[in-house]
Amino acid sequence: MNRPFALALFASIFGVTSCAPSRFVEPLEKDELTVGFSLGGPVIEFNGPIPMPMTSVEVGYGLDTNLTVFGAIHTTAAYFGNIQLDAGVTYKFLDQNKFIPNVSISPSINFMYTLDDRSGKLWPILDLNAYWNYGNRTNYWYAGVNNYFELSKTMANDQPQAHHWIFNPQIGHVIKGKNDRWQLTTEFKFLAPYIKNWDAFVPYKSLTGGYGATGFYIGCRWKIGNQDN
Amino acid sequence: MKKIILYTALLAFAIACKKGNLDSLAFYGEKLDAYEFENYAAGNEAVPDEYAVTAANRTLVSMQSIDEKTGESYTIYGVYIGDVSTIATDTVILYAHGQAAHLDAYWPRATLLASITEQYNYGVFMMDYRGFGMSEGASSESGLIEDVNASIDWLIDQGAAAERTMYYGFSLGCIPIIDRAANRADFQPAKVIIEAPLASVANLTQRSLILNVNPKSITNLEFENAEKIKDVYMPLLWLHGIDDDYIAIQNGELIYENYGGVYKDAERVVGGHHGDIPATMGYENYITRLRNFIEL
Repeated sequence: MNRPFALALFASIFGVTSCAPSRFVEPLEKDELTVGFSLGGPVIEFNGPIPMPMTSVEVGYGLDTNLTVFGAIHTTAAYFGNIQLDAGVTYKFLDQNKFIPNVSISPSINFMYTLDDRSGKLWPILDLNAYWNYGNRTNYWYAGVNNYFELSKTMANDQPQAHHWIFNPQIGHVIKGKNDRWQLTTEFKFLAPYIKNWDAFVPYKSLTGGYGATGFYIGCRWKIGNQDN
Repeated sequence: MKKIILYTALLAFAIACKKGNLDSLAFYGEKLDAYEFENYAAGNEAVPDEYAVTAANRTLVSMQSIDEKTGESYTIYGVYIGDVSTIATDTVILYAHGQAAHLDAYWPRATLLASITEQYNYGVFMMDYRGFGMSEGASSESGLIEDVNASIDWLIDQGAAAERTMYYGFSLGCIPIIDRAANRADFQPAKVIIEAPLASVANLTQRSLILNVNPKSITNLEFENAEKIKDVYMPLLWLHGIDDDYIAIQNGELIYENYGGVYKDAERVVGGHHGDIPATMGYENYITRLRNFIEL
């Protein structure tokens, strides 16, 4: 069965929870300023499995060596007349020591304002990631969880909200360029891998079979400013 | 830093100015120059020859469907299976098809409906919405309702009696069927049959996305079947495949639960998917199920 509406629906608004990888797993250095973009999304069945090409543009700034503030605008949502932003901070509270990884936490919000409807909605997010730097360029692997919180008590047609906490495990890798002028991120996100998907309107393709969806993302960021430069 | 923020905001604003939406994608009609009906190669949708309807027993009909906002008129097409001259005394099923293609694709289903008793004792009327088959124009949510309205008008013009008229909607077709059953006071059908209905666009999106996302962020469509069914009072039969992976059965359950009338009946089809209910139930079982409901 052809599902153009379902696919487009998926492409445009699933982005709320899944249009970007973790923004900053490792904080920037103090006073570092970066810009970047991300591309990718959940994998769907469309004549074969493909990740949806969701896009966002991000900015990050190192407030301190272990604290980065960031924000992003979701360009796909903008095409549909919505202002969708996410913003938050990443704080590293544990340093790597032999087998103990660095650990960072990223509380943030995702805000979506629909211009036609003049209504806005906000979702709190909490990411917790462990990451391991390696090599001269301190590239790193990371593994963690992305948590979305739905605050509404009800959903469509006055039904009780089915899920208030959406739990999305993720793994990723970041390659750094020479002198750390750029970073390239690759991430797999296992979106709600405990919620059945086989009868969802959108044709999810998931590594966890009939549950959840699998997101695949790439991102790139460039360092464009630092007080030291 | 200020420049970056400014440029990013300008970029987003520029993109937002050229706003897109998905409304047209909900209507997957295919244009045709001519219908094939009994000669159409239905593939997997084909039904056994014993249900075949010959060209002599069908009539191609054209109607004018009016856009109530603009006043523009569109010629839409329908097909009546049975004897037009006896509509006034026949039991008639008004069938509103799903989102795929055109009338030809639903011809096999119409022949099954025409076989509910002995063939042609029941008239079956189905139409192509704007943008489907030979019908002019482009589909919209209001257009679906206006097109079914035009079909009801045609039936009235032929003398059809409301008390012997059944409305039957499949999938997308449930939207205008439920709306007309709820809101058209001058022609209240005897009974309503809905197969694989969606509850609402909001329900589809939020059930799929888990979060309570405003569907208005990408579409103006509402398809509020779950609300409108509260104003449907004639007897209701709902059929839905338990294994429907396109419009999950939860949609139908919600509509069934919200139904505002007194008599309702449900057929949750084990192993049924979207569009294969007759084949899954067995054609005779399907026909018998409908007959039993209609003849209640």
